[in-house]
Amino acid sequence: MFEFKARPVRLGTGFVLALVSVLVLALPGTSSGQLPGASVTVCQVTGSASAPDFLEVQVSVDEVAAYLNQFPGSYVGSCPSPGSGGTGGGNLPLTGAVTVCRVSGSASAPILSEVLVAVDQVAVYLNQNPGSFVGACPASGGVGNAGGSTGGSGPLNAVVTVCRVTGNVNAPDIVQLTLNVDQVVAFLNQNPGSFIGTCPGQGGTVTQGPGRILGIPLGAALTICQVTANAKVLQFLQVNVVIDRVAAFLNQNPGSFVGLCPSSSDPNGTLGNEPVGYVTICRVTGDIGNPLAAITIRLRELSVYLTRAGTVVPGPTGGCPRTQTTPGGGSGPPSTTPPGQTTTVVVQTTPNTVVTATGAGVKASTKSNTKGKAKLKVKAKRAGIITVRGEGGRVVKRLGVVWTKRSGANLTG
Amino acid sequence: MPLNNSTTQRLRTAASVFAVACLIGLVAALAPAGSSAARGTSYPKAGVILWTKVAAHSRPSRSSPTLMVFPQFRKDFRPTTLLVLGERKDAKGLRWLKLSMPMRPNGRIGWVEAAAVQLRPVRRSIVIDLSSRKLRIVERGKTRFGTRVAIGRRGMETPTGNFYLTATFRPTERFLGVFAFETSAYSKLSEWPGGGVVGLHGTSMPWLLGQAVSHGCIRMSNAAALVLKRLTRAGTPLRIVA
Repeated sequence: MFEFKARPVRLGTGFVLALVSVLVLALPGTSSGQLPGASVTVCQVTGSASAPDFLEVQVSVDEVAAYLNQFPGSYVGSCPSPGSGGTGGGNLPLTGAVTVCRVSGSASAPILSEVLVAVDQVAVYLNQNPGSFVGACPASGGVGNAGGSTGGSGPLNAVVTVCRVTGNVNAPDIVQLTLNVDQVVAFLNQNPGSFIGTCPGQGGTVTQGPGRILGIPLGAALTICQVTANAKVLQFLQVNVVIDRVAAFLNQNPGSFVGLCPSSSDPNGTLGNEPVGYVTICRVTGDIGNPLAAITIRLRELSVYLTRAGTVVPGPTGGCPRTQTTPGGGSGPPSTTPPGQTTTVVVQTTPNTVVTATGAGVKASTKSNTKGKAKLKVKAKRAGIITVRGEGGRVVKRLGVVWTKRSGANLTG
Repeated sequence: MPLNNSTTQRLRTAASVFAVACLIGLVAALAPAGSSAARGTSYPKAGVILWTKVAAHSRPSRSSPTLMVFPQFRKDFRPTTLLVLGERKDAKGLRWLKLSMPMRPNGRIGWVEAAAVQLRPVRRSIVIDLSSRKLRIVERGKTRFGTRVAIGRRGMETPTGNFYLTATFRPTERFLGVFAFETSAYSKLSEWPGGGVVGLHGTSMPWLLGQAVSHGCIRMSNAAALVLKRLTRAGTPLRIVA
């Protein structure tokens, strides 16, 4: 019944898609260098200290600004890969750190310095230091590697290729620029959505007539979460901004971001893009049903939260995961065992921690090995549920103790 | 008659072209299904719950009404099994799974957050034809097993529609035979103890098979019930047609 229909539908869909692709490719005047069809490679940087995550994605050029806004720390270019480097120029995730060119200073005294940043703090670091980028700094006569930035005659006179993404409903545009490095910080601050690297196409100016920008239709407004902060509290206000004023608004309200604010019904909101000095993370709650919760904290408090295994930094844009995927595993799929029979339960948890199993007449404990693996032998005395807990009392596994034989009185027969 | 060199060459070329064309055709025919399966997008699938409990909503949205709350374990401590018919993303990019709901009225659809469920593929399904009173186990379009069954009598007709097996057990009642299956279907008898769940089970009265004699359940021979035990499990789709 179910599976019979799936195959012809998929074949049909594939055929239609192929036909559409052929027709689109055959259309005159459509080339990879023009909006809205062009795309660029973006390295999406997320994850945590224990699970850094690099994902190379293709993003439509008219959505690059929105994408980078949603994923702070991500950048235009290829991701680093073990052993081969990449545009990002690191050896991730093997080393756990990435080279970042910190760009600061002023026109009269520009400062370029290469720093090593732990991968789980790259996003935060780039948020803190606008204009800085993943990759080596432009060197004297050399070539920088942040998506096409080029070196000049030394740090003082080096130039960087920047793709300016601006526009409004009537004239969205993408322009290739070359800037002195000491102007980059100010420029990127003034032009949110612009990025270091070459624009799609052959370089130079790629301008598009009336059309979309940031994936929003003509005349539309963007939902923005206006974030203000003082020493004690963060305040969020949901506002709608006409699209051609978005850049100015974000410039006027640092820390604000495109997306939904956290609310009582959806406490996670759209995470990321916190005010300078703050970071939103998913903290470990210890609650089985809701193991992670979003919280925005001062950066200097971060180290305290990182001591708890499973903390996700920064919090993902779509909200905190409902299960823990970092070491500690979260509650795995349920399984069953009959009463009176010895069963070996294997769980993955934090290394060198005490693991306990309780319920259904069972009381057992052991210690996980250096890789976090723990084996427990349990023999249930009665039907019920055995709960296996790891570090901090967090549930890592549940087993139902089930009699195979039972009454079928609930069946109509 | 011996062939000259040019004829042999032409035959070889024609054979090569034919082979390549066949290969391309084969790849084209297999690619969509294969790639889709690799992405794990073919449904239905069975699933178990990873959270302590998960709410099923009427629409793929947290703000929509809650139809019911599934616990990770049932009252008999067996894991709650779900049948997933499809998936969708909401405006925030959150993945939702479309479920066949084990509740009244029959045929109801619900949605749960995908993160709460671990999925596994299902290869076999059960098809019951009430008019011919036959049960079949179908795998990849082919019948793996068939048997004669007894169905609900007049006024207590076995419901038709798409359902699934929710649990399996050895019944303590001799009347239910050697093995029984709970389904997500509900009988017309709403006042039955336990809610009136339609079951598939063996029987202690095999001479009634092939007749409409039950209260809505599907009865089969004990031998057939044991075959079902071997070939199916909780989460197997069940289709009952008139």
